[in-house]
This record gives sequence, C-alpha cells and structure tokens, in this order.
Amino acid sequence: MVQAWQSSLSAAIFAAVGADAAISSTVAQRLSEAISMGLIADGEQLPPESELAGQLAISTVSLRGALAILRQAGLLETRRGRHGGSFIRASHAYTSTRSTERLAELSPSRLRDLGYELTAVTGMVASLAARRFDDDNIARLTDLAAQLGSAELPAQRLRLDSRFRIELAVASQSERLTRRMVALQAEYSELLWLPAVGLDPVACASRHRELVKAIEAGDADLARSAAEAHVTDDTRQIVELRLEMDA
Amino acid sequence: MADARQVADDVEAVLDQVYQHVDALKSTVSSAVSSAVSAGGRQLPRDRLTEVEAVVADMVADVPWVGGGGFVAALDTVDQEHRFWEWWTRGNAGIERLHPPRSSSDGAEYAYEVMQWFRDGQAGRASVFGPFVDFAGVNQLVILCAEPVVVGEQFLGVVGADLVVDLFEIQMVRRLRILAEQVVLTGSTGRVVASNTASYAPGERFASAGWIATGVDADRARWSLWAQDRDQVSPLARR
Repeated sequence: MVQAWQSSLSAAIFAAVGADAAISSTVAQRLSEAISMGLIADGEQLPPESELAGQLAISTVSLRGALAILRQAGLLETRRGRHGGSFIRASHAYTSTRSTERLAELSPSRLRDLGYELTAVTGMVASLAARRFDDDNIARLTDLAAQLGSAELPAQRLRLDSRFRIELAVASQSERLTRRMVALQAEYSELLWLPAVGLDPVACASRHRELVKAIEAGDADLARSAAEAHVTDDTRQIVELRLEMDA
Repeated sequence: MADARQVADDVEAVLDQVYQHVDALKSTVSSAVSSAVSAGGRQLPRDRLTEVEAVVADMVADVPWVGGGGFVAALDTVDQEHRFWEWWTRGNAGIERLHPPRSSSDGAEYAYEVMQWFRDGQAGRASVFGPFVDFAGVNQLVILCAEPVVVGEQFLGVVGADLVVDLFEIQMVRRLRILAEQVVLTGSTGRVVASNTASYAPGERFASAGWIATGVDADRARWSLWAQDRDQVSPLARR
C-alpha cells in the first residue's frame, strides 16, 4: 500500500523556501535532493496538489511548475484513473550528470562557503551529541557507518552518509540544528558522493566510527574537532574537483 | 519549607495526569482489538482504531503540554502493513493525524521497533523516554510516556503521549524552584529533564556523583530528583 506524504517531514525539508520568482525550480531542486537522500521513498504518493501546496506554503501554480520539472527529470510519474495520482520514482534519483552540472554552477567560493556552514553545524551537533546521546543514537550511528562501509553504489553511499550526518544532528537534540542539517545535506551530499570526487566509503565510514567513539566517550571537544576536520577534508576534495572543471 | 519528597510527589502528580489518559488509550485499543484477537486473527483492521482520535482529543484538551498521542502497532499486525501507527498531534484546529511511517525504501522508514520505548513495551514495561528529537515522526523535542498493550499473551503495540519539552520543561521548573537548593530532575537513562538552574539543559547526561536522589514514579517513569549532598559540599558551593 502506498503511503501518503508526511507533512511534518516536508515542513522540515522546505522550511527555508522563500517567495521567489524561481520558486518552482527551488522546490523541484529540494524535492529531488530529498529523494536522493532517501527521505522520500520510491513509490510514495504525493497528496492532492492543493493540499501539498498548502503544506509547502506555495501557490498551486508554483507547485505545478515544480512537479513538471520533476516529471521531466523522470522523478515523478503521474497515473490516471481510480488508483491514479503522482508517484515518486526514486530509482532515477541520482545521476552524476545532474549533480556534476550543479557543481559546475557553484563557484569555488560559494562551495567553500557551503563547507564552512556545514562545518559549523556538524562541529556543534557532534559536541552536543557527546553530552546528550542515548543508546538508540549510538546504535543507529554505528549501524549506518557499517552499512556505508560496504555500500556499492554511489546512490547508496550518498543516502547512508547523509542519514548518518542527520542522525548525528538528531543525537544533539536540537530541533533547529536538525532542520539545518537536513537542508545542508540536501545541498551537499550529492556533490560529495559524485564518483569523480573519489571519496572512499570505507575510509569515510572509519572516520564516522571514530567520531561515534568520541561521542560515546562523552568527549565533546574531540567529537567536535573530529567532525569539523572530516567536513573540511571532504570539502577540499569537492573544491579540488570543481577547480579541475575549469582547467 | 518544601522538601525534595514533596516536589517529587508534585512531579509524579503531573505524570499521573498524563498517564490517566494513556491508560484510557490503552483500554480503548485493548477493547477494540480483543474481539479480533479472540477470533484468532493476526491482522487487525485499521477501522477498529477510530476511537483513538477522540481519546487523544480529550487528552490534548485536558493537558496543555501534551503535543499528541496514540497507538504504535507491533510489526505486521494492522491492515497488512509492516509498520503502523494511529497517532494524532495538536494542530491549528483540533488534532491532526500523523501519517503512518513509510515502509518501502530502507533509509526513509521510521524503524520504531528498534527504539528503546518500543522495546520496553515489548518487554511488558511502561516507560517515559527522552527528551529526544523525534526525527521523521513529530520532528519535535519530546518526552514520550509509553505503555504496552497486551491482550491475552499477545503484545499488540504501545500507546503513548508526547510531552512537548518546549512547554513541559517550564512546568517542571516552576515546581523545582520551590526548593531553595540547586536540583536536577533526570529521566530513566540519566539524562536531564529539567533543573531549577540554567546550568543543566534538558537532554544532557547528568553526572550524579556528589548528589542524592529522590525517586519519582518508580513504576513507570523511574525519574530521579537530585539534590547536592550537603555533607560533601561547602556552604559556598550551594546557591
């Protein structure tokens, strides 16, 4: 049975969408990123247009524009009839072509700036997590890191790595930082896991495990510095690729 | 001058008020499903759970710091769904249904069966869990008051209510501030629920060495109210 859209989750993803002439493409972009991260599942049915537009606080005209973009990208399928409606097609979610195009559109300076913001948020949530974690957080983080270490496909790596970082924010018990982390992962993770960046999932998983150890030891300073260093190193690798594009 | 025991009793009374409603949810779910269970059916039709809404509406109207509540089903027991909940949250107009967890892609799902409060329920225990950010659930910092639903020998799931930390913390602080000394209220996993000073934030792990505990709601919440051990603290270190 197909599940309906989860309104609270959509609010978490789309809270930062403003009133903008390019609102359709912004919404389409956020939706496709959320699909890449696995926050919206394959086969999930969208609610009726009027309801969804209301949840996202945008006009139905803007929403239709966004849905058209997704349909064209193969991320949305519209079926007619009694069991009709709009359904997410997540199997088409991650194409390195589209993410490479997005990387090319970002200037190196904007890319670094995105990295700084993610570093600030990640460092803070890691430090809070070391003071606030519970056993469920540790189990989930450990499990995600292990899955990442053995993930074969770029799409899986992207999904597991971004879920790890979101779970880290959840462990910080800050609602605001969790929302911010979801939004940042939507922007960042598809760039990070471009095959051309050459990130090693095993090495990444091992740094995640080191971080979990620091959190479990209650060492807030070590957790913060490990988390910050990891994001800084990752961002340098993306910037490296971005600079090569103009060579 | 109030003492720690009186304040602990006062906190317990606040939890009791919530648990009265959680108990009502439990009997609603139990009676709705007992006929289906006695008929030998493993699967419970969802339409038997419609009365949950009214019970949650009552609770939300009665207790201002409750954000919602409902029933989280044991796996594979309702409507052919792997995971299912009948959960209602306070909305702009009355209460709104929280869409059930999604079941397809593994990253998107809300795997409640691995969570402590659900496993406590499976083990037949009531629990008060949190504070925690209920990501992909209500997406809020909450404390969950949970209780198992068991009919005959069968575990059917967990009923519960979310205490919204935003609103609940200050209710606790008002009660704790009656005491002149610094006190910290912690949950069953040793994390802070509230304190009468800003040095201890909800959710933080609390190092209790040098503090003395007074038990709060030993049967369900297993909370503790900590006051500094006067024998070990110099008068200057006390507020």
